[in-house]
Amino acid sequence: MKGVHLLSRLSEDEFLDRESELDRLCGARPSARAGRTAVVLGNPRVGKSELLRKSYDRLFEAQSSVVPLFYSFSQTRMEPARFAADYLAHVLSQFIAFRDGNNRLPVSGESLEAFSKSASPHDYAWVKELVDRFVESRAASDEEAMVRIAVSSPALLEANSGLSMFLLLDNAHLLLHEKMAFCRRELLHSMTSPAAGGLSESRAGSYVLSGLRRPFSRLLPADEALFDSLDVIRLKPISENALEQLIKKRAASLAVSISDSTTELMIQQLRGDLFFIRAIVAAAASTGSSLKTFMEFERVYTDEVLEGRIGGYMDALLREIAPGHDMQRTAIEILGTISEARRPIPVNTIIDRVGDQGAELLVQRLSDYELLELKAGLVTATDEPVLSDYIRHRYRSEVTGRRRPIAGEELLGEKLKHSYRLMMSRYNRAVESQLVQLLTRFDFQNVPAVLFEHDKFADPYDGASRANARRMLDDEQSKIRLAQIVYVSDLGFHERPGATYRLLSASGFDGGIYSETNETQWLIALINSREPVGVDMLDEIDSRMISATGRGTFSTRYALPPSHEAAGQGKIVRWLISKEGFTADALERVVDRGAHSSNYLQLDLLCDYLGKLDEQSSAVRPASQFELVIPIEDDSELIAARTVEQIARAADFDQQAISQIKTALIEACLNAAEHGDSPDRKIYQRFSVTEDRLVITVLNKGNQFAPVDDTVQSTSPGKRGRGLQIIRALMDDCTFERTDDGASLVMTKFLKRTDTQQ
Amino acid sequence: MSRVEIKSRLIDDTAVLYPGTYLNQLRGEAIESRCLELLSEGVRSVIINFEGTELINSIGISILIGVIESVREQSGKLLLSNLSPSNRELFDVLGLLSQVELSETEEEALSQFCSLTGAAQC
Repeated sequence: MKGVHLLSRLSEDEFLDRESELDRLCGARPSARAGRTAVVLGNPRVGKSELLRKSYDRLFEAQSSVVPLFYSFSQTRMEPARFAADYLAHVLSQFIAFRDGNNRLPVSGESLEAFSKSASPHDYAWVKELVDRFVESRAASDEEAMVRIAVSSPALLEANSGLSMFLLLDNAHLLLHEKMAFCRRELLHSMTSPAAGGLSESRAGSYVLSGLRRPFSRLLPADEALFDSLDVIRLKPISENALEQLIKKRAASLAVSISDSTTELMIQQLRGDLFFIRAIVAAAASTGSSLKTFMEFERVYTDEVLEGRIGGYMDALLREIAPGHDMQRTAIEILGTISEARRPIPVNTIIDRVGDQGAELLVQRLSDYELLELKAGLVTATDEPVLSDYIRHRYRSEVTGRRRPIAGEELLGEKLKHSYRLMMSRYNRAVESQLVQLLTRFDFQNVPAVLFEHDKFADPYDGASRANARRMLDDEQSKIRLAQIVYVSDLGFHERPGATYRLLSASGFDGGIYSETNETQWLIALINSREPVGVDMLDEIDSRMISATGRGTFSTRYALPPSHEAAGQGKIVRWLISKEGFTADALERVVDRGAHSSNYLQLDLLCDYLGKLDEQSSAVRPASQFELVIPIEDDSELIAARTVEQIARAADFDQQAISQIKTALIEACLNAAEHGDSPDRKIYQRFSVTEDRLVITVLNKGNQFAPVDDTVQSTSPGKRGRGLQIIRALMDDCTFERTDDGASLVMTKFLKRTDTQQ
Repeated sequence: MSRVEIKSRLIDDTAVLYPGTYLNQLRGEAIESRCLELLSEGVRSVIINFEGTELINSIGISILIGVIESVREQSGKLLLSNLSPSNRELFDVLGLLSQVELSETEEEALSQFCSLTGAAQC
């Protein structure tokens, strides 16, 4: 699109990652939104206002039957009469500009009478009548009538022009102000009432509201019709990749030199806040500074936060929240106190401390503006670094009265110390988030055991390329079966000289049914150290794991049957993941304790392996499917065997493969009959034939199906142990899957093996 | 439970048993009891002829292992004959081939017994 700039402030280049939201608001058929209300929510400064402004521009440019009307509520126009006049002026001026098709918006401040004169001849009469009514009410000092006329004006425009009005209302949280109570009622009424004179129940116009997200829950009434037609659009922060490009482009256009590492630091330290980023780059440009080193960046940052545009913005924000010098000082005192406390403080303690009657309301307002967190009567400081720096500085200089340094700034020293750690923690966070994602993909898959056994991994895999390692994994015979992970919790971050580690707990179930005995907990340590993990560190991690579980000692080991576990405690699996691996002593101890051990390469390979399994399962598109239900009774498995014989023959399997499939299916049926506690005494089978394979699923609606841990190869298999042994030997793949009301065994036979036939 | 008849024949001192098309628990147990009967009658050479045995399940095999052990305990000898490639594969998978001898045909099995016992009529 050409991109006219009537209201929007960012160029198309800088308006990133927002196309889908823009399309949702005013996409191909904005008229389809008629009568609907949307709410745009997101972090402060994430770009909500800009989205509304861009929507305005796009709809204006389209010149369709949808007329965009933008209004931003302002603290300076809270009196009903003032608001009404301003609102009506905006609605009329934008409507007239749209009708003219010119993209020159009338200058605000023109009298309402002037608008009626500039209306087209076609609209003149009714616009004049509307303005006259308003002027009369104003002359009569009838504020309520003025508000009603202004707020209902879009409906009147719609009825007279035949066009749809699309209202974009920014800073809508200001409607909660006590002076705006009547305006709020009227406006919400217009959003929920049927169109004036309309035959249908549809409401006049459509509304998009935006503003601070926290107060929104108090703004909208519990009106079913309103919520029924409500769209909630949550603006996510812009992706780091997009931000990186944006920063580089902006720096280049302003001739500011910048490095990759400061770009990354800027994204992390400013939490991707576009306004702050633009301010820093502009400040560097105006002072001729480079942003190539951490020192240069932090210097510009410190100046900006203390005395530059960012500081000025924060000052203005505080004035908006806490008008008046005294209230501002109270606000700074509240924010500074909780920031220094570094822990949640009861609201009452804060109120007592500042001794101000309006403090409770002030805390609420500070929370609305996300300058602090208020939950269950406790307040905590914001974790937003820029706000924290600003608050700390003002608190120290204005409340505690600490002297400023003669030269330089204390904040600069703090930021420099912090910047290196911030970049390291970013790396750790990336690995942690990769691990958490990986854990949530654990879903009973069988994976090579060597990925969890660093002692066996090092020798053959060290030095192998990742592609080679992947191929080697395909030949691994020893497999372990993963649990199905339901949720992952953070057990804390720890530091020791030369190393940091995070402890995680992943809870889920082993195979079989979702019962206490099958519950499993994986305790994971993700270790980033300069050297391989030694015995000391291993013991420290172990003791932290023990205290995290609340158990006295680790008596449990991986792969012990559930009977060995204390009642109701489920199984515990420990998994140590170390970037630099382990010393020989430590590894011996890990093995002795029955824990899993991996390095980052094993972690990556596990990720690849699960990805490959996903691809394989999604690549199978059943060409034809057959289903068979047999009763659990003597020799009924023969019926299944005869059926699969016909299917396999039709699919071109050779005689040997057919015999193998029949034998395996008989075993699967016996297994289902023996282990299933099926209430309907039936076994359900599904046969899927694709180009290259036959997949047989045997389901039963019972409590149990296979032994809980079928990965353990018994040395003296019992009858069923033999059954599973047969299935595994004769089929190419075999997995157990839980279903909600039973279990299933999935067996695969490939039609033509690409490698040598077995 | 209906009793399953196992076809068998006695050639001199050697018993030949025929499991039928499907060696499952029922037929396995029938073979076991017939075999114990024969052992108590003094038979010490047993051939199980799998010709016509299309399918064998794991329970049948478990019982068969019991039969092999019973014969061995009585100082008897047991041979399996006429195994199809798939049945042979199954026995191989379960490690049975190291515990029992195989013959291609019933005749070959019989002649093996003859050479062992040195019976004149062989």
